[in-house]
Amino acid sequence: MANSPELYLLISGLVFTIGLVGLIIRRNPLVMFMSIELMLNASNLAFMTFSRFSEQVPGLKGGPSDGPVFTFVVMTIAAAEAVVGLAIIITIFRTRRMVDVDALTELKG
Amino acid sequence: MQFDSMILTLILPVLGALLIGTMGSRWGRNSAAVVASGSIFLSFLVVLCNLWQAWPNPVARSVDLWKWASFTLDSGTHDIYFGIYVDALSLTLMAVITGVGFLIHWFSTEYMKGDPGYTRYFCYLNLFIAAMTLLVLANNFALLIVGWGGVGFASFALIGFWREKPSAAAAAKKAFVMNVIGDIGLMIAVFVLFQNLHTLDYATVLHDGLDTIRLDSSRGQWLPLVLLGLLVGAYAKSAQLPLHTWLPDAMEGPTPVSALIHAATMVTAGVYLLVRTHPLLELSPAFLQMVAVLGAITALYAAYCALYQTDLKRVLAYSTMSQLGYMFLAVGVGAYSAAIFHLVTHAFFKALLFLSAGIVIHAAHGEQDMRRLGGLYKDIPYTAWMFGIGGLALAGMFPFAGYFSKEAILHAAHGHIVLYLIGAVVALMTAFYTGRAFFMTFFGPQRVESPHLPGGPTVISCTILTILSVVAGFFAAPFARFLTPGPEAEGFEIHTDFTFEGIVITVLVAASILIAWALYGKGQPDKFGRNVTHNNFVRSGLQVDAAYLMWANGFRDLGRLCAKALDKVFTTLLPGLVGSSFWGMGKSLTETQTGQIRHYMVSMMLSVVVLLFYALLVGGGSLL
Repeated sequence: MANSPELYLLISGLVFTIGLVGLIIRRNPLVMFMSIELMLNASNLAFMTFSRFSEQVPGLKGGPSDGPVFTFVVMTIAAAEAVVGLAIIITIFRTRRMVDVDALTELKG
Repeated sequence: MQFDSMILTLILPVLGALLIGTMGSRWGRNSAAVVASGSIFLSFLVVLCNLWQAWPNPVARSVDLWKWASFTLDSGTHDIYFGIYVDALSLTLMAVITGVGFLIHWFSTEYMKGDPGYTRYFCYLNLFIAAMTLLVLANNFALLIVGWGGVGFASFALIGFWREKPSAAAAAKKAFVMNVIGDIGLMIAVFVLFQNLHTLDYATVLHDGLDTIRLDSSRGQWLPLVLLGLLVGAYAKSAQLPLHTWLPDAMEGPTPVSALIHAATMVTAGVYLLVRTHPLLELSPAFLQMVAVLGAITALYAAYCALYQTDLKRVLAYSTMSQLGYMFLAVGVGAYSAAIFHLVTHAFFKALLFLSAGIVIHAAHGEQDMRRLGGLYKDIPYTAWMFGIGGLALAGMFPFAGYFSKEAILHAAHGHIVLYLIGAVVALMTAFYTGRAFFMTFFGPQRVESPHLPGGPTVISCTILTILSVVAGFFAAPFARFLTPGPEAEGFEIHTDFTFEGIVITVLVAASILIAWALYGKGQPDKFGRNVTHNNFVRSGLQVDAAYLMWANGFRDLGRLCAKALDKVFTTLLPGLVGSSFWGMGKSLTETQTGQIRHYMVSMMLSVVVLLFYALLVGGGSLL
């Protein structure tokens, strides 16, 4: 089991789904951010899995060093995104004294 | 490139027109007049020399100057040359064009004095002579079209010479439109001819190519189109029914222009065309018969309208139309020499009539209505004499020129008794309306105060034309011999004997003139003025104009209808529909913009799922 990618991918998919569901059903933007983190890390896990087992997966185009590269990029983006997102959330909280996502529908067409 | 002295007759007027057009305003009026008249006089001398050489047995020559155009068809490459064709017919026409043209130029130098557009006038006049020369001298149909269009333009420019006058501008436009109808007919004829014979050369088409046409089994499909096109061209240019309406209105132009273009030369181009192409016409006797019948009808119609005119120039215009009808009648019955002979004599006496009418109009300070003229014999007796002699020639009185040419045509029409009778009746009507115009203008009480007296050039040029109108008739027989292209050619003999009919017609013509004298000799009121409705109906040319206008108005109303109904659909309703449909589409799409992040998230996820499924099931693992 430890030498095959299935378990890792299963965990990755599970975590991604938890993150997705959390993103869709929760109204608190902080929790939604955490859900996004979950999804990003799930994808990181998938990247690393494919990287690690790149020889065993038939038809895979990338090599063993591609996975860490993408993972670092994703982590960097996640950090930057968290900074910008939290700044926005704080600004919204300062002006409205609340951060309910359902109430923020100014961009309705 | 060969040189032929007849080319000079083409170069000189072109040069004259160019010089006057560019330098005229700098050189001054007298120089312009001298250049214009001088260039025409020089070309007249050239024509005379050529006539002298050719007399009495002319040899036709076709001189190609340079290659003008070249067409590649399936059957090979066919060249069209810029060349001239000199034979008895073109020499005769050229003598009339340059001779009468020079006299009219000379006349104009005095007549147009005091007109602000003096140099412009002479530029146009030279341009006209150049175009007419090209028309007559061309040795192929393509070049003929150039001349044909050129005279149309010059006629347009000169009818509308007094362009500040709305009626003159309208008349010019009308003449141009009618002439363009003829141009299109001629062009179609020439195109079809080229398509089937692969050449437009006169020498080939009208002589050697005739056998090709006779042997061509499919000629029934294209020859009628050619002949019809030629006829439409000739009818429009020569103001024959039903394309005649522009000629009476063309009298808006200066009177020497009416004399030159609308009596002596341009309007006879149609007769020239038919005589030139008579070998083609003879291939279809039915067409020739149609030409004869339509010519007779035109002659009758125009003579009838002339009876009722009150405007001196319009009388002459209708009589020109009527005499052209005679010429077409002559062509139709196959009397080509008679047609050309009448063309020549008509050029002399009608130019004379128009020019003396010009003197009259000047004397009367621009008055053209014969009811307000009268008694002018006492003021300008010499002009009255000249007008009278011209009138007698027009009426066909022995021994003036018109008698011989008209008698030749009537004699040629002997075989067709109806046409002959129409011709005879028209001759009597001609005598009557000519007498009426003469007596109304020169006799009766004097109605013009302090008339303007004519000067030297006008009187001298009219005198020369008077002499020609008297003596030209006696040259019928040598003229016919000169014009006959070959011993086997038919239709070129002219009847010159004195016959009983000739005497009868002369007596009847004299009687008609006497009746006119009795009715109008003492300035009596117009006998044709009682029934006003009928009077106006005939005076307007039997309302042919109104009929055309009705026809044209139909199209205008159709256009208005389109403007109202179709325009609304295509410029307002349909574009509006397109616009509003996009508006509605956008409106319904904005419904998807809920502003809820949740909704966007779900749609994003669903899209990804759909794309993934597509990639796995259809794309074989790849989105591309």
